Amino acid sequence: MSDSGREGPESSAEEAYREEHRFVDEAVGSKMTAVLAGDFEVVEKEAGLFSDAWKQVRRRKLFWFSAVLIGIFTLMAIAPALFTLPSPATHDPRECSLRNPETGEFQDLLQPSSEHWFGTDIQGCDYYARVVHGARVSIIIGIGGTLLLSFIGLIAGGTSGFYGGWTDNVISRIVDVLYAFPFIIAAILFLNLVAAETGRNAWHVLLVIGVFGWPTLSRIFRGAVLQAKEKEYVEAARALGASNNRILFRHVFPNAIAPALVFAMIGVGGIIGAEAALSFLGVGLQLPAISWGLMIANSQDRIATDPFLIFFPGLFLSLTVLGFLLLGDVVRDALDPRNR
Amino acid sequence: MPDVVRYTARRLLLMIPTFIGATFLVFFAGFALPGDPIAALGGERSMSESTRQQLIERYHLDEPVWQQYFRYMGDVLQGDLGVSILRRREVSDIFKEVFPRTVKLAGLAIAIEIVMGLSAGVLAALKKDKFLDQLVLVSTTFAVAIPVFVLGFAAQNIFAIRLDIFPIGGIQDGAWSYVLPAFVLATLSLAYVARLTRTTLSESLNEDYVQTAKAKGLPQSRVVGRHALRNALIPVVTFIGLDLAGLLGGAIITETVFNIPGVGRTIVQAIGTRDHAIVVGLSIAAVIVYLVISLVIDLFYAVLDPRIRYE
Repeated sequence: MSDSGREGPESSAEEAYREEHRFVDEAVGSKMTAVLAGDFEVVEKEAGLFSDAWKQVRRRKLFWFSAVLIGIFTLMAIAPALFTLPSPATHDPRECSLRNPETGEFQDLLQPSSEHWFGTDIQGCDYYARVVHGARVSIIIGIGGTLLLSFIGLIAGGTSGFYGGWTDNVISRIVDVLYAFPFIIAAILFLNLVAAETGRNAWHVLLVIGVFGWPTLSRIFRGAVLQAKEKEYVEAARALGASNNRILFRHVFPNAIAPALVFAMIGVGGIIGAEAALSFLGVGLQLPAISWGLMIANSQDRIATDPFLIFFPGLFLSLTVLGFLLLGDVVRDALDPRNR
Repeated sequence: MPDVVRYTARRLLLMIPTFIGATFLVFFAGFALPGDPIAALGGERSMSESTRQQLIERYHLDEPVWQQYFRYMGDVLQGDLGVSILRRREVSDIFKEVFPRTVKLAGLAIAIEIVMGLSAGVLAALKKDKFLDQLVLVSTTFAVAIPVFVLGFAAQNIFAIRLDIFPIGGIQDGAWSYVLPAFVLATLSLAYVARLTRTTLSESLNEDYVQTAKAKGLPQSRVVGRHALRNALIPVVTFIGLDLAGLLGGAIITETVFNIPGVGRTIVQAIGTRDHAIVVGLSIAAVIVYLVISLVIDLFYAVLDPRIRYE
């Protein structure tokens, strides 16, 4: 046990080991000891699942590539000034001028140049500053929305799988309803409802995404809980008189969380895409908010003349989604026991 | 097979609460949209209190929501989706006009998914960890990462504006106008189909019965086509079926980018014009299409894979 990196006899693996042996020796006999001890090897491995996964993940180039992508865009969301500082144009996305500062002539929709890296838009705003400032909304909604939908999904799926019976039936029917109700139609209808008078902000979009986005994660977690609760170590813990709560949080939850975790990581990218799509359709964020989806929506008529207005926000959006997608892929490979 | 009958009956019963729940949500959200329906009924001009009262009575707007809902659903089950006052047309007529466009788009997209996705997946599984496999993995990752509307504009810019092969949007060019949107719509699912086929096929290639077939000296085409692929395809077929069910509900984003007046585009436009009847009618039609097709897929799946327990 010393190489497991844990100290003290209170670690859960040791405790489970002692519990299992006591149960086995008293009740079943020596033959079952061997079987259960064999099974225990798996338990021990799963207890270290995440440290094992980390060891495997950090050797992969793809992981570092995705980490760098996510790092850059998260930093951009927190401190956009860091990114606009080296640009020779204005650093304020809302400080726009239609006059050339030197000649005083009117100008808009400048093509990308050394002065305006990403050109200027129809109001003469520096497009680079606007695209950089667009990261914040995407990251907030992507991560916040995922946290909210994971929270709802874990509670719903966990309750459903662990307790079964009528609770499971009710939750499963709600999940069915939300599945039959296409997500994008749901989001469009309810975003039109909330804050129709006051105007929508990022929190409204985040809320609607969280409330309608949880069914898939709930189904995944329910399935994993159903599998985990049939395992021998759960039976052993129950025989020892462990409470339902203890079994759920100590034994079932840690062994069932991996697939939901992977789904959530990939989901961040999906939600960032969804926010942009909703803003593009005109039901997400509204002007004067700065969002990549809005920028693309406002430029769609200029696709023939000024495609750069769509290209740059589209590029940043795709790279952000790619980062979370790759991270989820790499983590899934590491957590999937079939790949060992 | 009484088991199949019992399974079908059970699935149908389970569909009832789902159907009621989903349609009620649409009904509730659709009619709660901002805008005064009575003002719309009266032609958006001022009206006397007695006219207003008569309109409320005529359209049963004084009843509680759930009563209005059941009244409305009774009509829907008889094929009546309501009347759009703005467009002066039956919503079921509008549905008959726009649904075929959505079907064309979805059908073409599914065909592209099957042909390209399956071949890419099979090739990747056969050449696992070789260059071709890596190429499929990398390209599908990018395909998933680019949001549909960004991909749509990129395709418009390259294939419609620069190369001038396809029309940029609309449906004036008949079937030809659906090709580019269908490719854009198919990309995401195509990537999933390719990856799913790759995973399931490379797993089933390692199964004992496939190894036996190989050991018997059967040619590779027969080993793969006859023994490995058949089992590997079951989850892929399910995915494609559910995807079809979703796409028939209206590919809102693709239809918007390419200006195709299908179900999705019409719903979005109706939200803009506050045409509640169209929003609710078409959304409920979409939900019904989705539920029916996913039921068919589910039953088909049970027939396809005898290992499924009819529980």
